[in-house]
Amino acid sequence: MIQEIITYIIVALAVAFTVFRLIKTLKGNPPECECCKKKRKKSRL
Amino acid sequence: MNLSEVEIGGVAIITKIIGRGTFRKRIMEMGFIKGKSVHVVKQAPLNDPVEYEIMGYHVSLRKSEAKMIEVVTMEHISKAALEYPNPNLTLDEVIGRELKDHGNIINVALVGNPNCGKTTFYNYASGSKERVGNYSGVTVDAKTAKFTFKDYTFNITDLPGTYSLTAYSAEEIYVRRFITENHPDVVINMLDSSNLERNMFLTTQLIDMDVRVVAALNMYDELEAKGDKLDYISLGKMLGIPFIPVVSNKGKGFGVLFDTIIKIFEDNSPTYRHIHINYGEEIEASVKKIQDKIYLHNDNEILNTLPSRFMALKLLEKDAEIEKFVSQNTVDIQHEHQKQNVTHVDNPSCIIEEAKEEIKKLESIYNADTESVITDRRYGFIGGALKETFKSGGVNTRKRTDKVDYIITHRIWGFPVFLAVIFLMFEATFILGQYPMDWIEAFVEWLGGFIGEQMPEGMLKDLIIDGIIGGVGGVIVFLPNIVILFMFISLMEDSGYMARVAFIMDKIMHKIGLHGKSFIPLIMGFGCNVPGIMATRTLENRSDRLLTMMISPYMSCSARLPLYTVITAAFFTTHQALITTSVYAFGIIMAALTAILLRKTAFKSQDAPFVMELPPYRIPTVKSVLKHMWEKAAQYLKKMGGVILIASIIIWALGYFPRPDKEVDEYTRQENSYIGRMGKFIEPVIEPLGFDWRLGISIFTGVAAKEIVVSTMGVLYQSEESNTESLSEKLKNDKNTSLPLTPFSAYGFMIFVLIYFPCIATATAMIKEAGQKRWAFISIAYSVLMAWIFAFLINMIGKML
Repeated sequence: MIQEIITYIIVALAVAFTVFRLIKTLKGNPPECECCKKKRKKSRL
Repeated sequence: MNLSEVEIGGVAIITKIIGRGTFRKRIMEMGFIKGKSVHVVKQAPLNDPVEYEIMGYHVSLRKSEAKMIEVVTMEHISKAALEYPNPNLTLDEVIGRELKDHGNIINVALVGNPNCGKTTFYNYASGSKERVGNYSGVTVDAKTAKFTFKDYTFNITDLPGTYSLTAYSAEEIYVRRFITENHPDVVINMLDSSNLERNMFLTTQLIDMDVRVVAALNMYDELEAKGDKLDYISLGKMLGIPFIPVVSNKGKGFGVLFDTIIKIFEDNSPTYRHIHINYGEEIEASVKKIQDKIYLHNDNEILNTLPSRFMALKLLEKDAEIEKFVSQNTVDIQHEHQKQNVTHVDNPSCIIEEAKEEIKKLESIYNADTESVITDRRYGFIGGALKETFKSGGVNTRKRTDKVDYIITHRIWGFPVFLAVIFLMFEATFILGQYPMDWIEAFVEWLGGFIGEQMPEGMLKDLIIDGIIGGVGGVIVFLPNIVILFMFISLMEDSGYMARVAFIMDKIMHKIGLHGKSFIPLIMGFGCNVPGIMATRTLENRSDRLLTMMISPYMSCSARLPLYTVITAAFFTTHQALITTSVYAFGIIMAALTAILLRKTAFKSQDAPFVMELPPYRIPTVKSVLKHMWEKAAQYLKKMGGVILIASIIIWALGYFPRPDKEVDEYTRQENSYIGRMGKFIEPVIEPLGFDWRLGISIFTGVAAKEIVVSTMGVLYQSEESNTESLSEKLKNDKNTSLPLTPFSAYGFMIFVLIYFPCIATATAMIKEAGQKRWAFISIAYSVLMAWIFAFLINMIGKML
């Protein structure tokens, strides 16, 4: 029973995340292209 | 904020004077210097000019001039004083701190020729990770980063590479506008030390623009290695620009460079001064005449933007952008003067007319067009300066480069060498990658077995083993292959070979209606199609851009490699590298054919002339290659923990539910699940291609990201008998389906995944960059249709044989 509840929660979260990303994409922000994400670090000077 | 924004009666402290040349000098001589307080007294009836009180006397400034003075108001300082944790600070101490916070911000623009190492410098200085490569046009727009050095905050902007500041190409206009509109405090002119003469052409234009410049002699170690000697201190004194040797990829010389920038910013550099390049008596006389006309329309708005000398020279060089700028602004001046009842005798276009007359005169004297004459003079100036300061050591790396190029860019040998390099890349990817791949695979299997033993039977156990480990584990094993592939791409880019690839492809590109420059975005597409599509910004012609964008998804990105590895390991064990090379080659041929088709139908315009640059070969640094590999590995792992994990869970759930009422075998159960029903629904469409419903679903889910094709297969190809088999083995030994894969249909599947719908990220980038949804939709429809046709033909050939 606990296994089933946890499984349903995980699947529901995955679906919610997909819907969220889909909406974001339709709004014009391409998803998961890590190449374009700017990562800033401290200067090495 | 700037002084023009301070209200009447307000008091402010000056933090910075923006702008350059005479205006800056004049305003500072009037007492407008950092740290002085200004009182806004009153405004003229038409709100302009405004009267200010500084150092005990009154002075009036136009709003356009006041805009160039950055200040912090006393009101702001009083508020800040209350917020300081130490209440015992005196007002002077608070002002000192505020001045440091607001006045020690230095805006720096990074300009230089393409491929001179600007982005490498930018990344090292700011800790950013922008893409770099030993070929031109990698940076396509301005990128800004912030960092601190000593007590100063630097806002550094990396600009696209440009050879000149004439309005010839989009990059040149972009860089020039950036400098004139954003007024950077200091411009770093990045120079390739091994190619000073050509690189300094841009320096001469920056001198004419009268901006505060510091020249960074990048790759100075290469100059020294050649045995060359440069007296950069004397060169700096001659040109009025400090020259600082740096090695961008090692961070050498950065401290001195940024110290020099601070000195220039604080107006105490002993070297920096504005000089006038002598263009010869006749040209100087013409410049003077045009300048006089510009001064006649003495409007500070124009002169604050661009110096009169630069405008005059550019007008003589027939620069259309400057002509437009001058004529538009002179019309405004006349209007303004009429409003003030001042009679203006000159025609608004008198400056342009004067310039045209001078051009005619100069061309008759020199018997050549003024643009060439001025360019010659600039090179003459550079040649003279280098003759006095530069001594060649006799070792010519160019000669070495030329010797290598003789074979690599040979009209006959060039292509076999290219194919051999690609073949070697895949051979190494598979052979070297096999060992770590086996280790990861063994770990994934062990993990599945361990969890299987530890957890009680149930839904969650099925999710973890079949969904998560089956899906994510199925793709994560390819991490070593991806990393090795990127090691080769990085070696090819950093050594300068990629630029040669573009060069040897130039002829083919011309035949298909594009030029070599289009090949750079296409090469980038081998890594990921999204930056490839963004890199089309370097193409001036819109039809070239759209056409390159349309064919870019046919460049096989690294996300498709896991599928090729699975399929080739299952069906082409002995010729893995050869088959993979052929898939990549198929993509290139497909791109070429599509380009020819589109050039003959939708994009009929001619391509713009372009000179392909061949940078000297450089030995890639271990650090840079390792950095590329690490970044790619991190990206891949992040993707595993994100989109691939999510997709695997959803696909598992769709394949798990609804639960059967009675005991059935695994394949039948999956067939009756939601995903099985969906798969069966689309099966008639893909059946002629030799694909069963599981491959159909994999194709469908691969739309989100191409790696998901393999993770979906990992989830769907679960068999009851053998959970320890790899995906390749499962594909090879698949007896469940009535439509098992054959080597031909498997090859067709690789081709289908190569050609069909680019992933969502690519499609979105295409819509964004093309500015229209139409082209993305046409591309999708065309690619899906072509994928089907080719997979069908390959399957048919297989059946006939």
